[in-house]
This record gives sequence, structure tokens and C-alpha cells, in this order.
Amino acid sequence: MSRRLQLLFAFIVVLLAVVTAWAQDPSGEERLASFDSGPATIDVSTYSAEMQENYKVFAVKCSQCHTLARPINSDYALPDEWSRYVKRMMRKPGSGINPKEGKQIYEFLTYDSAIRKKDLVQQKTAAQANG
Amino acid sequence: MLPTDDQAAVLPRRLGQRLAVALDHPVIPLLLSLLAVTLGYGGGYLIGSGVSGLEESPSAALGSYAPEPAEVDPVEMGRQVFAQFGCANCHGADGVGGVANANSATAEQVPSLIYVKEAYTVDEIKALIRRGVPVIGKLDSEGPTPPLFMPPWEGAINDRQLDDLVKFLFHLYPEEEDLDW
Repeated sequence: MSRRLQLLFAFIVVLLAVVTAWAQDPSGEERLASFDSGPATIDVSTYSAEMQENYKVFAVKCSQCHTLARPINSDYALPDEWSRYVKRMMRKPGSGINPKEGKQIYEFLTYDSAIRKKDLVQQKTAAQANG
Repeated sequence: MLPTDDQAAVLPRRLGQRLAVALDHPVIPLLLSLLAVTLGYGGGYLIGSGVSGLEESPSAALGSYAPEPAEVDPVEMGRQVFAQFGCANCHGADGVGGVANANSATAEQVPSLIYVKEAYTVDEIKALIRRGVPVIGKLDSEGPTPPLFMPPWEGAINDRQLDDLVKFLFHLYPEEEDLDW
């Protein structure tokens, strides 16, 4: 094989590696866009009365700054992930979310994940257990 | 065979000369650098956009007799990183925020950093610092672009500086405000 062909082959291999890595790790904006394009409501008719109330708080407060579809379709599922995410939002200046409302939102998202994202919760819990 | 009296007098002088020649060898700085790395001397904190890899080398640290990193409080080192990278210019001296950022979605202010500990894992906040926040959400979508944004620090900040910076940020957290969820 000539040196030029070797170089071309090496270039293609590197290019494929970069493209594969890019495809597997979409940018933050692409990730958000994929969440935003999903369903924007949750059918909470079978949830407890308390969770239905919490859902209202979630729907009102969270839609002030971003689509409701974003958290609904996001890959956050575990309680500690939701805790960090809700606190991150709550602490932003002008969020309009107080700690009591933040807790209601957190409780709703955790409860909802345990139902709608059951498989993801199990997957992530197992991954955490395996270190 | 034992040296004569004359030889005994000359010997230390010759040894001294040979040692001086040996120390003048170009390999000596390299050996000293390797020794410094082995002993744990880091590059010290040479922060700023103009810092080159050479300036951060252990030999540079030897020149300034940088203290043993293990003896330095990482939070204090992180405070230095915070100040020297200019984080305080936007986030305030102790990360309390409040610096005006016209038309930013965060109430036209640069956000505070005191709650970072409850909102991010170490890996998450490191990733955020590395990639920066180049696009700031607008309060009024038709209004002007907020003038302040966070540049990506990837390549400008080294791993040790980032470790210390995160320790400093986590240290800012007001534990008395800790939430039970």
C-alpha cells in the first residue's frame, strides 16, 4: 500500500471515530431539542391527589422559563438527579420558585419518574450500584 | 594503595572540580525537574491566558520554591484560582452574584455561585466550567443579547486548579440553608 493510501486510510479511521463520538454524545442544545420535541403534558389522572396538586405547581412554575416537555422527556430519573436539577432552577435569580414549591416539584418529578420512567430508574440504580 | 600526602591534598580539589563540571551538564536541570516531580512539587499556580506549559513546569516551580501542595488548603488555593481567572468580576468577590447583566433571563443578573454544591455533582460543575455558558437566555426574546457570558475554560485551567476551584465553590454553600430534599 502506498504511503498516500495509508494516510487516507488513517484519515478515514479518525474521521469515523470523531463522527461516531459526536453521534453518541450530542451537544447540550441537541439534547434539549430532543426533550423539547416530546410530549408536553402528563396524564396524572391516576396519581394521588397530592401529586396532582404538585403537578399543577410543576406545570405553572417550570413553564415560566422552558418548555414543560423538557423535564417530562429528560433523562433525569433518580431522586438525587431531580433534587439537583430542581435546586439549580430554583436558585436562579428570578426563578419565582420558593423552597416549598421546589420541594413539591421535586416530589412530583420523583414520583412520576418511578412510574413513567421505571426502566430508566432501574437501569440507573443498577449502574450506580455497580460503581 | 593509599594516596601520598600530596595526593591527599589534591584529591578534594579535583573532586570539587569534577563535581562542578558535572553540575554544569545540561542534563542536570532535567534531573532536578524529575526529582521535583517525584517529591511532589507541582507547577504552582501560574494563572492567566498567557501562561505556557513551560511556565507551569516543575522546574519553574522549583525556581520559585513553591510550597508542598499537600500542605496548602485546597479551598484557599481555589479562592486564588477564582480571583485570578477573573470569576469574581462577574460572580462577585465571594461568588454571591448580583452583577448586572442586561436582559439576561436570570433577572438581569449574573447568578450566584453559593448554591453550586446542592445543584451539581463535582463532575457536572467541572464539565460546566470547561464548556462555559456561551449563550445566555434572554429575558425579553426580542431584546438585546446579554453582554456577559461565561467563556469555556477548557485548555486554560488545569486539572488541579479545577479541583481546587470546585472545592472553593462547594465551600461557599450556606449549610444552614440546607434543604431536606
